[in-house]
Amino acid sequence: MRVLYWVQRFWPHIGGVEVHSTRFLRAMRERGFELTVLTSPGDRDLPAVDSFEGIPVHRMRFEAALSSADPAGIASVRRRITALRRELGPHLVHLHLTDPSVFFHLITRHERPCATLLSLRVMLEGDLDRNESVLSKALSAAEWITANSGAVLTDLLAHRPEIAGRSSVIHNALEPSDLSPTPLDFSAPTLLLLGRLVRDKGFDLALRALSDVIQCHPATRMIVAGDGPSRPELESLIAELGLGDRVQFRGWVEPEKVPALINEATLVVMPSRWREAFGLVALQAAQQARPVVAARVGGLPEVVVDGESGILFAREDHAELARGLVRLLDDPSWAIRLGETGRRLAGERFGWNRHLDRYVELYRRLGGERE
Amino acid sequence: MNQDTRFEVNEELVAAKVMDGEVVVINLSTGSYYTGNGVAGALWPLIEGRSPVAAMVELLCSHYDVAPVQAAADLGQLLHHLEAEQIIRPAVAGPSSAPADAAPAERQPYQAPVIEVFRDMAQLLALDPPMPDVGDIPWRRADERSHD
Repeated sequence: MRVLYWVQRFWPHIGGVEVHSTRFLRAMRERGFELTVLTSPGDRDLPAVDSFEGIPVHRMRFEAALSSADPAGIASVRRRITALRRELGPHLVHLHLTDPSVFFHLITRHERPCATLLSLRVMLEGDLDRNESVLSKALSAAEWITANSGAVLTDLLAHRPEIAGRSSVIHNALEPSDLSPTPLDFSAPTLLLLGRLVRDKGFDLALRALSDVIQCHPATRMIVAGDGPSRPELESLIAELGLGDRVQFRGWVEPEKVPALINEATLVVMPSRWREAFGLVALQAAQQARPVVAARVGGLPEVVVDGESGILFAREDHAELARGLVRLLDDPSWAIRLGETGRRLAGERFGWNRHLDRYVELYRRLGGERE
Repeated sequence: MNQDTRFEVNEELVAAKVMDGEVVVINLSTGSYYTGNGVAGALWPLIEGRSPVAAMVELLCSHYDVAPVQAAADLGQLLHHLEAEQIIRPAVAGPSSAPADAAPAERQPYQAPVIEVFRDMAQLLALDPPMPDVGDIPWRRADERSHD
């Protein structure tokens, strides 16, 4: 079965969605699907036609064409997509789009019509209530919609209840980590923040919490892994709070090195302000048997079970975050137990093969109907 | 609207392009995007050329399998829609020039000319967070790493 896998960003861009896509595509190819990736180069200078481990990758400048408000540019991109659809003749288009480039799917979908699977991995923003909006049309045009958490689907159904009969939750998942968890270190506790350095991630809240935690646990330090535009503000805050060299910036970390990074941590902190659709870092932390202290936002409570695999705190409440961290550092045996429970739940609820099996079933059902 | 009525494109507000027989229109003042099907694409040069309604009906009937009454009704709906969207307005002058011919060379099955509107594109473009491009991303494929 031929599948056109359409995603906003793909390798060599980095991020949760991109990392998932590469692993997913490898696994689905092993299961016999013939995949082609359609994506955007973003602002980078990347080849228009490329290959990822033998999987064809086509890159088109969707955003540039749309934001220039140039009909000729839009028509040109449409022509290329139409040609690709004709050449490929996909049985299924698997979309991951919640960005404006879904427009191009909508205006080319009548070319070699086939089933559409729309996978949502972010909380939808935009105009969902008006039938003439791009996202509404994308939802209407999809034969099936998957959400990566119950929170994403619940949010969606509140706007578009009519899709209840053609939607389902397929939680994010990870392949089992090759690296065994190491014992948690409570003599010099390390708190880990991992992700893009943007205000929505709430890393500033964790820094404020750290300044409270060190009153009780003075040897505590923090690792910040990731990069982004908020770094200067975070550095200023570190200076303002007098945290000095307790906080270490690691920059971006290769995906395959993340388990080792997490093994350096005693606790993993996810203080997000925005409604995380899922929170892949929490799952990675659980695989390494690390308790997670996370904001009660979006899909995080589905990954971090409060009091069982971690602690949840109210969004923006850095004092409650600090209290949660201190409780865990005060009680190492409890923290270890939470970490072990998290690791067990990661395997039971978020297993990689189960995740793939559900997509295989959907691919076959949706694609097969049109063969 | 009668057979002599002419329209013109509201050029101060609108950008448009016909390519591969289909038309893309952007209302620059509202940020709405529009795409037309092939029949709308065939009509577009006549609209741009301020051709009268009668000429557009004639084009439809001569290139597609459609009766004049049906063609006139569908055309009326299209023009009304475009006018309501401020893409076109009644023309005050006569034809600007001979319109480019975007109609198919051979007689085609008929579909009513329609323009699909995408109302929230400007909003989506503003929402879309351009991913911070992170320069030298320390991530290579397994096959590249194997050459280290």
